Amino acid sequence: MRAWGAGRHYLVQGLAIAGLGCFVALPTLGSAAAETSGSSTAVRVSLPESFSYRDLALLPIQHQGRVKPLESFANSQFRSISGERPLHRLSAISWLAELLFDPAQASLQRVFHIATQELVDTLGLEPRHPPRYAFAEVASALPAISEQLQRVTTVPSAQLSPLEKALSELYQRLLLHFEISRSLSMVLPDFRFESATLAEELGFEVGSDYSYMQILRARHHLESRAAPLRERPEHERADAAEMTADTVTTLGEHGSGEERDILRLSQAIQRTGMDAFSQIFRIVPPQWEGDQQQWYSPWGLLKSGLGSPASARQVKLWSRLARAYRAGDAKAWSEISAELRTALQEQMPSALTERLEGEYYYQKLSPFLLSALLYLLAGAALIGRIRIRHQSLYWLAWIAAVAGVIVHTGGLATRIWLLERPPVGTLYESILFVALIGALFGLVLAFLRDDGVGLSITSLIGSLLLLLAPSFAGDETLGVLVAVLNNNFWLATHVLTISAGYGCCLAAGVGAHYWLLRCALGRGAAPGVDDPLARALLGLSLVACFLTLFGTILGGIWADQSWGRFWGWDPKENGALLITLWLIYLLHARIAGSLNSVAFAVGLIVLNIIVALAWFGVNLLSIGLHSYGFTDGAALGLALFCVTEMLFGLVLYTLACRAVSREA
Amino acid sequence: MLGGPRLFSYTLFWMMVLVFFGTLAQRELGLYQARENYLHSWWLWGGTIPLPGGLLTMSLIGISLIARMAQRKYWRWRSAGTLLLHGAALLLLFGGLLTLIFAQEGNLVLREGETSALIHAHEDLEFVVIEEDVQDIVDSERVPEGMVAERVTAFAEGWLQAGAQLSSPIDFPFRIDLWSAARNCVVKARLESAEVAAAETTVAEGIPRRGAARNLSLESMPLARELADNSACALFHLQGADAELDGLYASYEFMVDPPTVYVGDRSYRFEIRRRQDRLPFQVELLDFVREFHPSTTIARGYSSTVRIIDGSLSFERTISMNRPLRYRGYTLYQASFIEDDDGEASSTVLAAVRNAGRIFPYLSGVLMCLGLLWHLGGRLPPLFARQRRGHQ
Repeated sequence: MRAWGAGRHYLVQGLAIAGLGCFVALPTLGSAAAETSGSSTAVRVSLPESFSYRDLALLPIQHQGRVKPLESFANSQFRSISGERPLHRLSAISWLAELLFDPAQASLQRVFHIATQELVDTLGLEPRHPPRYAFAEVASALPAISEQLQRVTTVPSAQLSPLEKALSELYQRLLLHFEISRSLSMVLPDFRFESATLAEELGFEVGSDYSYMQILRARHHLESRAAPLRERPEHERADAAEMTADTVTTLGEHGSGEERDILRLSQAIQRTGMDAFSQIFRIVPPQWEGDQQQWYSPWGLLKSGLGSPASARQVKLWSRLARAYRAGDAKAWSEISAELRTALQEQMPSALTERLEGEYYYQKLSPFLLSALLYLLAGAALIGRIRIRHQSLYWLAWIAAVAGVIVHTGGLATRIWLLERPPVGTLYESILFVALIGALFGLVLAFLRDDGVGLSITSLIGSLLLLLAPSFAGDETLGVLVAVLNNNFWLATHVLTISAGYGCCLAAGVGAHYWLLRCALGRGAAPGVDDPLARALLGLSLVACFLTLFGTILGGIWADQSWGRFWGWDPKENGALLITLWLIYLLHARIAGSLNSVAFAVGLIVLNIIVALAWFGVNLLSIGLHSYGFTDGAALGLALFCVTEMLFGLVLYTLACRAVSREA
Repeated sequence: MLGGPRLFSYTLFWMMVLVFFGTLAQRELGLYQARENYLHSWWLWGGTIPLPGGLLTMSLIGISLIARMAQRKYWRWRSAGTLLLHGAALLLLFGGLLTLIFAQEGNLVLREGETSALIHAHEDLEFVVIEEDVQDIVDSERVPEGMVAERVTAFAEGWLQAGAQLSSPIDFPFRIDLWSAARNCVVKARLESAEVAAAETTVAEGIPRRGAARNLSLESMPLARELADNSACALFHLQGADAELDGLYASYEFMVDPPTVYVGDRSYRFEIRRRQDRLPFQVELLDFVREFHPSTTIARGYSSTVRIIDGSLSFERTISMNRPLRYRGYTLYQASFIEDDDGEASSTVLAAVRNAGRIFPYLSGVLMCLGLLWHLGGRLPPLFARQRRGHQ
């Protein structure tokens, strides 16, 4: 009775949380939850290490508008639920397997990262570092704050305090955890007969574990026998809290063993039947013509009655997989998961199968993390070269930077192949692309000049932006696009051009830092009009001006095609316009001679600030037709960046001016 | 001086300041009001100091560019790129001016199966006098069977000033003096707003209040952030019709029962509303489709299949995101949709735009890029000259 016994409390908590009579149920949850959470003092990974998750990770699922491997689903859902990346000792896919096949055990895993200390205090949870809590722990804390919970689920988000928002977000994470955990509940071997008479009467065996699908044939019989039992006076209390309280315990004193079994099983069937709300796990491909690319969740298939022989075979394989998991049978697990994968591949076009494998390796290899490390290596080699003036370090920096660009380009190319669209459609993707363009311009400069400035630009822009990018990724890094952006022509023209313009601006800005620093320290060539690096910076800003101007005009033309006006003074349009106007201003002033090299370089640092404001700041305003980026938590970082850059520009300007006057 | 770099630099810098603060102001004021205050204005006030607004600044940039181009020394092949760039920038500014003056835009809202040519403007208001049952003055053959003819006299937004006398070539049997009008109002029961009621009573002493104006006061409000959330209102004095009809009347946008007076055998209805125009052709919505990414509520696309009926000419087209329909100078875009109570989207909102300056950004864009490429072609090679000195 391990499975159902352990799972019973979990299921009770989950159903209550899922909003099915949530607020009626919450006060009764305390004791049951406490009982479960009492044993959750340590993280338990219940599976033997010999389990191979590769085939499971490669199984397809339709989620957020596209078909992806379970590896991607597991990663994004883990991030959504835990609020952080998967733990090293617990891969996302093994966490998902446990959540699907052994939800009761999974409810004891400390995966909920609660960053708000005030929320931890409100929930009455023990302070912990790191602040990770198990589903069972959090669920048991909810009854005490049922009124606050009711408020956060009914009041619009804008009217909530930061603490309430954190509570609301945590509640959504709990719901998601519960929904995923019930995805396969119809095939989990959670039902067992204890009464021999009853089992024999219904054609089952005592001591064997049955799934909901198997026991469903006895449902009517059990229901008809349970109905008169429920009407006995001593059972009234149990009826009142039917879906939440531990009914079996309440009946214990009065009924016979068979009666208790009837009530327990009929109630368990009812509870499991309510799992049909779980629709997130769409793992069954379209079965019939007219399905319109819609995949089915196992519960959706069961409820709609749209199953086919192929889908029946798949569900049976999932059932066998669940039993292999529960039994800890690694060999059977591997065989069944491979068989399941083959069965699904038969129903999919080969191109999709190839893309699934591609995405699996993309997730495993993390190309952008890898290229960020290579850029960092290039930077480290350049710094090392300052001390140890050895030629090999210079070449190491070159090799690392080129390798970084190659891996970076490969990562973007993979995304284009997987998503079948140009590489920039979200804020996260724009960071990846701008980083590549900045790095490429750095390499061009490195090819023209061998003083390390080009490689420094590549290393700095590449590594910083790629390390920053995940903060803007949200839970899903390979997402589908909203309708207005869903246009490959304009994504490939306007968005890429303007993003390339951002990249070029940043390269010029970083180069200006280097040039000013060199002037301020009085090193290298004397600062002046004919300084080759200053000329190269002027060249870069001309290219940046071309790209941003062309990109802005293309954006206007897209707006004219899409919304009927070329220019609407929307914040994003204004941001792009500001960059262009600033570049025009700088270039005119520089070419006319009213700005010297030092002032021009400081102007390029200001350009960095304007680019950052246009790129990220616009989303913070949350207005206009373009505000579709991810913004939370970015304001402080942006303000810090702007202030630091301004201070840096001011100090370097002062020092560089002194150096120039000394030279004069 | 006009063609010199100073004027250009200063105006360009000031333009950046306007764009920056105009963008920030959008958070407080909303896009429309911030745009009107900072960018579509000749002047704006920085405390008590008048400052050049967007229109003046852009005009000065334009003058500076013209003066620059008028200098004969720049008409050389070497400066061809710069000349092209400056000319293209002028074209862009000129197109913007044409758009500002002549562009018409509004929404055409259609349910599936409905045919209409009526466009509701986004911004512009009008005050209309609608004469009902005017069969005697229209060609009866033009009135479809079962329909009633109305004559609409519209006073454009320029008329909506306090103290304006609304006169038209049509000889109304009364005179309309506008007492007050505002783009955004809140309607209150007079008892609740004693202060406003008292002020109105003082001004309008001896003039009887009629209809809804008896019980309601219209309080002018700052503009809402979203243009659509504003509700315009007008308080007007009708006189010369009949002693029992003369008096103050109130009308506001979306009023369920606008003020109506009966003079002789005619009725006259008074409304303040968003300007309404008619397309020179009819549009029938055959089907509206909202597509989602599979298994999500993320919209993948919207499209409206319409039939254009222009006299005896009739044809079908599908308008979707980024794929507008252009016909007879108008462009129809898929702008939005309206959901029914059951969550089904069966009404489409098409944006209808007519813009005389539409071609200019396209022309200017091409010329600008050519000019910049020309300029870069000559400038870049020496700037990116290779310089190596050994890596030690």
